[in-house]
Amino acid sequence: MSVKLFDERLNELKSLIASMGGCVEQMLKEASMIIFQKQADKEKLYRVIRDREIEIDSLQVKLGKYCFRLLAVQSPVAKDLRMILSIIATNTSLERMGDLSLNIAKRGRDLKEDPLLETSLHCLEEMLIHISLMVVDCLDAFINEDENLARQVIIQDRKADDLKEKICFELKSCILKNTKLIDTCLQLVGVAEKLERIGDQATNIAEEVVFLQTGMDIKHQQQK
Amino acid sequence: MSFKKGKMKQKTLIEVKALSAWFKKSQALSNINLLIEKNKVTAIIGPSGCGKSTFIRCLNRLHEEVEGAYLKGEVILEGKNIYDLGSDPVLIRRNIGMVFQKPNPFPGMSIYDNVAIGLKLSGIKKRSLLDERVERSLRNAALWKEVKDHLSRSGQSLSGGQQQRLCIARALAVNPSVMLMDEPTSALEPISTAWIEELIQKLKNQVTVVFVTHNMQQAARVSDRIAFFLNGELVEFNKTSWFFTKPKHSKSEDYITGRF
Repeated sequence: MSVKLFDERLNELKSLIASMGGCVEQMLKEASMIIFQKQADKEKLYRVIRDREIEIDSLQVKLGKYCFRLLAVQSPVAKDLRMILSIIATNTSLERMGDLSLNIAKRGRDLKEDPLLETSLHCLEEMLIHISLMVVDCLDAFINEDENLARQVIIQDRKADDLKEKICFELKSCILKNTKLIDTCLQLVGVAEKLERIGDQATNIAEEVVFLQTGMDIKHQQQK
Repeated sequence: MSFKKGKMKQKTLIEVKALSAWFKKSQALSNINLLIEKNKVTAIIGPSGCGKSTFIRCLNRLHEEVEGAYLKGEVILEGKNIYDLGSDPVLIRRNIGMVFQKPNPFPGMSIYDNVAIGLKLSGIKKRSLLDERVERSLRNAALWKEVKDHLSRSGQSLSGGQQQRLCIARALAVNPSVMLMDEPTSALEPISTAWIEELIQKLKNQVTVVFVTHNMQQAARVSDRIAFFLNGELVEFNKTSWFFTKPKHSKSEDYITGRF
């Protein structure tokens, strides 16, 4: 395979990543509508999200196959190798994001309304916006190979964790005020947890960008 | 290949200092500085005409054999410059053996004599000692099992891969401390290539290997260190694992990814 053709293949892989990322971004928007827009046709939106998740799964398989073939026939080295390894890792992260977004949509579809939940829902909306931005930024960082933006995403993950803690605290207060809300509150805790995990996956993608650009593996460094 | 981080201090066997080489007016190498570690495999890579072969031929004073060829600088082997006045090139080449691209067993000589010739020239005449050293060299070159029953056959009757291992055995017979190899597998098919590559890995326990290759994957598989040459200059000298994952120099990256 010529270098030109190999570069074309790499660009195709990046386009597939962009398509998967676009799906995740849309799923989060639609999940947000399910949870926060009272007039939304929740069932219809849920079906759209489910179809997107199926599309992501099929893109994941396709990408995995292409990466496997390129590794086998091209024996890439240096940045080419790091690029394919990053694409493989990002592929997995995006597929997980798709699963998590579908789970959020499912929980959102079944939510019951109550005035007591207003503060928690406000926090949850703030978290969803924050996570959506992390997803957009990590994908931009990946596509544009922008290490600085990737490092900003990694920093943003702490705020996502804090927001989740805040939501859990608010929901505990709700339960103490009205125990009948326990099921709904648990669903909302679930939504916050899934959002936090999407944030973690966005962080993973950002770490892949740093690896792609520098060759350094910075995973788990903030835990030390 | 090991994933372990080496904490042991590596011992330098050859120190190349400010080495420049010429063929008449044409400069082939300019100001090469390099430390070759003992019992490591160092691969020399680079495009055609970059000075790879000239470089290794400077390591055992073969460069000066070409008419009009000369050099400046030092090649210090175990503390002694091989270009010092009074150094004997023959003795140096015995200590720094060389295997060439095309296997070159001595024509008209048996397998046994091909290996024994260096020993005989160095004064060993005792048959039992010769037998022992020939067998040991052929074993070290992973050829003994294939040839032990017909040592009197001509060296040239062997296959290409066997001939190359015979040449390695010939070089090993005189106990060199360094083995230079100039594209040792480029004339061989994949199975013989695999044999030689495995052999290089084993050999590094007893000798320091420096080899030239055009095959990037071979350099990646076999070597511990990579020296990348371009236009007669040493662009990068790095651990192989780093060179192929995160090269220091953009020219190295361009070369190994084919974007030159």
